[in-house]
Amino acid sequence: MEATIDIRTADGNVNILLDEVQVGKIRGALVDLCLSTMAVFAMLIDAAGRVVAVGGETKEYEVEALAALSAADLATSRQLAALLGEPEFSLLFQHEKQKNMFMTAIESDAILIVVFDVDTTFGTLRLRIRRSISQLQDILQQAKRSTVVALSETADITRSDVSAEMAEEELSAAALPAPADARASVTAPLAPQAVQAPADARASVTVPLAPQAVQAPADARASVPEPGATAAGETAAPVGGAVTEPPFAAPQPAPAVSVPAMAVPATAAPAAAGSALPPELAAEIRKALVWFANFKGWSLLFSDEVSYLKRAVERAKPDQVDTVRVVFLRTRARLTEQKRLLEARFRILQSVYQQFVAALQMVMQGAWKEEIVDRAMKAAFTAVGTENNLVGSGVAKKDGAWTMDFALIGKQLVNTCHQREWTYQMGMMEMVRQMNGGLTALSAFVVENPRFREDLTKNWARIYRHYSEGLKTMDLEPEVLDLFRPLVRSGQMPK
Amino acid sequence: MGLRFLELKSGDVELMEAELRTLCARSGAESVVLLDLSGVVLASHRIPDKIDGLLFAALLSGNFAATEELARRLGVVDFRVMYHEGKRQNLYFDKVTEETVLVVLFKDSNALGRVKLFSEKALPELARMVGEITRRPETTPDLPQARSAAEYLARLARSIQPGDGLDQV
Repeated sequence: MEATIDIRTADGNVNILLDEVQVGKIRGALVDLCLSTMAVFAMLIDAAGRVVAVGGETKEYEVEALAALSAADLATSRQLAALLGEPEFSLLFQHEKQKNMFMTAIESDAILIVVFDVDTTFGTLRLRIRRSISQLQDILQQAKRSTVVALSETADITRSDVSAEMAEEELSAAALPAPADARASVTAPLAPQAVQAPADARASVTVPLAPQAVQAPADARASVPEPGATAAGETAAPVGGAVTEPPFAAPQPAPAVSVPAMAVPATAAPAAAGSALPPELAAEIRKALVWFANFKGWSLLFSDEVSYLKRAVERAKPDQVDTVRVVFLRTRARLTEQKRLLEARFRILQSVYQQFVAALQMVMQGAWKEEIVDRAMKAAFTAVGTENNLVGSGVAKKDGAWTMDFALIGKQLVNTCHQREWTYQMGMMEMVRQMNGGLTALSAFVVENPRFREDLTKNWARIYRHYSEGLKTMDLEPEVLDLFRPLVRSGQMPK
Repeated sequence: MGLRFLELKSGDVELMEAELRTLCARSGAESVVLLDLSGVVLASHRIPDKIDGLLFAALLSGNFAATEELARRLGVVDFRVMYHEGKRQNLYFDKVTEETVLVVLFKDSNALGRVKLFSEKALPELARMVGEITRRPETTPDLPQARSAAEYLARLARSIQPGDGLDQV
């Protein structure tokens, strides 16, 4: 992919490279923010004062001048914040009848600016902007990591590459002979019950984990933490998938996959009268278009391609057929890839967490009636982060013994995610963080008692092993890895 | 906007500080500063010891001026209020006159309404005081003539009137 825009630090060094897709995503997030808050416009600039992306109505304004001034302004704000011992200031200025502005730093080198007027209330903006900030943060973090790779990657996707990619896909979808049906692996995610289909494609990723890790993807809708995912799917996920006993739906036979996805019958669509496309290709494009339309979060990204393909199906000249084919294959391959990555990552996370919970349960089966455990549990779990306490709610003392109600923790996770507008990934991260904190505190207490020491050390080693094995297979951001690191660093109990 | 030197007498500062003290107590703020846009502190109440006051004032005024320019670009005509939100501390800026700004440093972000309310109540009085000082004719001290430095200092010491603040230095 071609790098189009860079984000620079205040001293002009390039820090992040963004490709078209990422810039498109950012623009999408900004437009979304403007639409949902009725703001005049929103823009993302870098610390050097250059515009990265703009969304909304900017005709009246000189955005470049605004960007430069804003960057300078935020630089002085930063100094002020440093003087007062604050990590960062976000800025707002208000004028009741004219324009208001809100400015906040994202990822230290990027600045989000929202200009709004009387149509927007600050409360709404404040509420809504949190989601946008986390979206933008995700995009930028991803871009940061891929910057080095993007610099070395030069090639455009050539037609032969795409063909190779497609051939691979067809192989993984295997048993389906006709070319139209070979797209099953692509069309599968549309139907909830078709979810197990890509499991074999992902098996290579999840192998290092225990066998259930592969089955874990019980519910595909739930595992995509995108705003476009359905609400019902989202609520279903963590309670069933991560917490309670029957998290895994029984695997379904593979042939179920190809059928239900099709809103448009595969072969029934003949080429339009004015189009020179071969009927096979036209039918495939139609199928894919139906599929594209279902990914709300991405439809914006691929809007150009989609509209091009739509037009092509209507009326394509004979000399355009090759181009149409390349565009179609490339778009579909990119979308599929994106989706797979997202799902795979989330599932690995889920399964690592499951293993962790299993190991924890084992540890906790010991003699938990001791007074020392009382102290430890209170310190470790009930006091974890008062604000979004995910773990503490599920920890209680029943009949003189401490128990952890994982179903309750799962529910708490779902609720918190909905209230705070977190993706489940963020919720899981928060939960794992709290667990880590709690366990570290717990071990510090329990290790005082030599009777438990040996037994616990053995079990802790199990947990560490699960963690480190699981983490190796995950492609996590450094910030997220940091959360796990204290437990992974050594197989030893914290002293 | 030609800035003038404001000549402050100890009485002026005391009056302004009293006003700021009241504002600070009513709004529950950490500290309150009245600034000249050139970065000079006219009066202040409870600036934390660990903060370099001069640096703080210069940054505050610089920041306000930059934002004012930004607002002008957006078409805002009489820019007055600005708000910085941090994790623990917040800053509220309100323009008193063309050349002076009131800055309130407060901890709880929920108290913004309270800070705003009492700041706006205190503004007319502060503006009146600043206006009075601005309108006062500039005094040119008649410095004593002397042939040597020692004589100059002796005459200068004699010329200081009790009550104009210099005797306390």
